[in-house]
Amino acid sequence: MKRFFFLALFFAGTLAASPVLVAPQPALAAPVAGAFANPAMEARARALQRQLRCLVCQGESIDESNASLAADLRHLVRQQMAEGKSDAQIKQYLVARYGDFILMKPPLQPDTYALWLAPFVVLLGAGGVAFWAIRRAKPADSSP
Amino acid sequence: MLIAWIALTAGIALGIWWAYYELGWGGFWFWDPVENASLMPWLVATALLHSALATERSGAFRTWTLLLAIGGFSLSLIGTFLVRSGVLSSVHAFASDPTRGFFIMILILCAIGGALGLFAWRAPTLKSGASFDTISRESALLINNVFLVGSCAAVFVGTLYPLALDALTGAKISVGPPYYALTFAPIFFALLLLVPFGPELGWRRGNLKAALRALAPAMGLAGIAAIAVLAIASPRSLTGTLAFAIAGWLIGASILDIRKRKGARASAFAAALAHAGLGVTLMGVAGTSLWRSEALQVLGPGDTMTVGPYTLRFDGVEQVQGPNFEATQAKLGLMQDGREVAVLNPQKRLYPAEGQEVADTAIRTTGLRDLYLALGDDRGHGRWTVRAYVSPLAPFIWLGALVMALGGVLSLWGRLRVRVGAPSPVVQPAE
Repeated sequence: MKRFFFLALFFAGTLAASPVLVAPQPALAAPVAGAFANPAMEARARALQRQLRCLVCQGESIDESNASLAADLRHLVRQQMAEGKSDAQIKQYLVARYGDFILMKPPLQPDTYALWLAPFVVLLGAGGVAFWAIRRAKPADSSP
Repeated sequence: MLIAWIALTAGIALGIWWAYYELGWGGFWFWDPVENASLMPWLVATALLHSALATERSGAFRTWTLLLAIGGFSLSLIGTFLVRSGVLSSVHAFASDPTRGFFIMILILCAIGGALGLFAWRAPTLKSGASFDTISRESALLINNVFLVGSCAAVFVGTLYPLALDALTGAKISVGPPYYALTFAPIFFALLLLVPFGPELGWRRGNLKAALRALAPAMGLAGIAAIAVLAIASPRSLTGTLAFAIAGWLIGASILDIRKRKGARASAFAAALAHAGLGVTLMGVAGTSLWRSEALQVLGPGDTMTVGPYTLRFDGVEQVQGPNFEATQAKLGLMQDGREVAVLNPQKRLYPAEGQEVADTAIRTTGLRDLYLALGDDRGHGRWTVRAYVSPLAPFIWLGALVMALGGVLSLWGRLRVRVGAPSPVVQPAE
């Protein structure tokens, strides 16, 4: 039991450390016409823009993309923020309009359970096989 | 096999460098399908490298090593298919062509099917027979494999799941960096934490307590790294602190390992060097991702902009004729105490033959910090947008990869010398 506790702790720690590998790339929106004067609002807008995929270039978020569609979407995001909508509401609006594809982070829903769980299933499976192999390889003379 | 791993490590480093240099986004890794296609074989090849160590030593994990070899090769082929068939869109996609895609797919099916068939037929004849304790080098290598395979699964699923879902149900989703932050990253971080234990544990029977004692100075270095980051870096970041602590842990353990083996053959240092390289790259990734400063401004002649500790003066643009391109080249003076200390020339190149416009960034590096400039759009009246980034520790990313590859070269060199002297009696793993 104790061992499991440590294992859980270990994973919680690595999970906390993990964003560094994929930290938000603070790239730039096109020179910002209509930037918010309030730095907190501006930071929120930038964070939100980074979570939305440019539908034209596909490899980039609308925050980084130079495509005109991305500029339109940035404008849309900022407009809705100015109207007082929450991040969730804005995302919901965009998903309704463009589909899940626009979200950088795939939503957790029945058709993505496999996507989210697969890595950990493989990890546990491989761990199970390794555990079995290690136990089997134990020399007969050593006590447990 | 080792040669392939060295080539792949160096190849990925070059690819990252290309993206950083040419794409003008200031980033180096986007979890783009093409990047993932190169990362997957690397993860499996790294796993193979480790399990083959055990196979070579005591004949342990023979079937597993073989399976990894097949897996790594298959993933390289799948990568080729993904990249060149036009199935995926990517910033790196060149020379895509559906007919070629079909050919590559047939090739893949033959190769993978054939290899797995042979494996199923012959594998049962390979007996493992090796025995080792629960706490031992063999176990450590197996655990390394578990985490590498797990992290590879995250990349694999993230890359292919949207394709499969689209083909099966028509639902379109996209998998971006946040997915990898929650799947690949924790698995890989767990692996990094465990890395230093491997070389400290003896073959067949290791002593965990002794290993912990031996590694205590590395833990000290990790602590010092963490405190230093907390003291120097701004903004403070828990993630960054942990990343530097892990880097200190890896590098400290490598230094201990090298000291312990003083006077041994050069190849004995291979693992230490490769693991230290991992730590160096981690520092580069953390530094660049977390503490990058950025500025984007529209500049007219004579205007200045500041980014991080630097001040830049825009001195206009000029047309430059290259061997096969025409370029718009900006001139920016780097100012220090009111004096110009350097001139940087970011370009926008137009290759008329292909009609492609490519950014050519200007990068000035101190070895610890990159100043990175990209020229943006013409805003009329001699005014241009200029993007500037200051990326702390960016050079560490390639430096670390180079050190890793060098570790591979050392190991290879040692192996070649041994083989010439006395052929190893143990059955060699496939490849």
